[in-house]
Amino acid sequence: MTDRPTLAQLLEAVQLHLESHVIPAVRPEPRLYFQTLVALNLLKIAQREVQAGDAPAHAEAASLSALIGQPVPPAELPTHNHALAHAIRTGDYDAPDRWADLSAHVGGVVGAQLMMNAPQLAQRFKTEDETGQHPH
Amino acid sequence: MRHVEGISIGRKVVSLPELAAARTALPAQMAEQLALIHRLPTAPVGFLAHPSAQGYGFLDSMGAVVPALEYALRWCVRHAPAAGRTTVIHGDFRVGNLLVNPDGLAAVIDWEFAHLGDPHEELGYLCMRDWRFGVDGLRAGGLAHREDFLRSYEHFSGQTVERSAVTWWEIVGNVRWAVICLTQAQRHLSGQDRNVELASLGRRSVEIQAEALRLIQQTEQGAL
Repeated sequence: MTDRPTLAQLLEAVQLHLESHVIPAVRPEPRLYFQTLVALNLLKIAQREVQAGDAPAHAEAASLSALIGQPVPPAELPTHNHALAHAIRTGDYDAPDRWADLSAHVGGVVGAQLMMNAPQLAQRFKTEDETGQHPH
Repeated sequence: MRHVEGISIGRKVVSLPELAAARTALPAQMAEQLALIHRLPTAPVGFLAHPSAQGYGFLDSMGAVVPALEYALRWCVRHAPAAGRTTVIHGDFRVGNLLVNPDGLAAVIDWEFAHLGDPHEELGYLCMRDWRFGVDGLRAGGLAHREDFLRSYEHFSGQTVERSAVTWWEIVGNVRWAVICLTQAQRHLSGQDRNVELASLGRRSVEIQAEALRLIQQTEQGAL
């Protein structure tokens, strides 16, 4: 494997290039400027995913396994999520205790996805919860 | 049709110092306009769509498997409020689709999502976090607290607003928006229209899913 630079370091190098050279150069063109900021943000997401490795898939599989009461190998997450989606839609989780377990599961999975995709929003949610100051 | 000048960029409307007076005036002006829109006769525009919850159709058509959205859609189905009045709905009434000048509201624009529906839909939609443009604490469009806005709307419309129905529609608005983001990403993924902005919306959907789940869980805990 090639590790000089690593995949994460490659992504970082491209980010550096966008931030220091491309973004200042395209600033006069609003559309291109915006699209380049979007591209930079996607690189940051990619870098966080690379750094997290298999951990999010393992955590989701463990949580799903606890919910459905059977082993869920991370590689089989798509199949099991398909079954879960169908079960939710057809009312299998409507009973209050099942619904509470499902709430905890999807909340945990989406919370982890949020940390990957939009850590600023995750932080804002955390602040709202800690201060009790929810938008009203 | 006439020419009207104003700023429509949401982030500017909620933050530009020169629009501070406009922001003070806007909530009542918006509530008044909404009351007027919801009083328009529906018969001449009977051709307008009367959409139902289409979330499942969109998910299935792109083969998207998203348990969080299934959870949110299921919650919406199980907690739908009793049908309210049917009125003309602007369909995208928020900062960003208003022309604003230093005195406040100059014009309501972007009517392409107009349809017939329950006015609570419009009030809930206005409260979605994305339409606060960073002023998250002010739930009604980044301009006012929700309760103040709803009281103003009740004043102008003479109608009673069910708070729980407004929350339900805010949640539906987020669920729909999260699904739409996935359909936009699908245009990139399918090769129909390959570009980075569309691709990014697939990840953006996570933020809106998270907001929908949050609102559902806060509602279930009785916090809203």
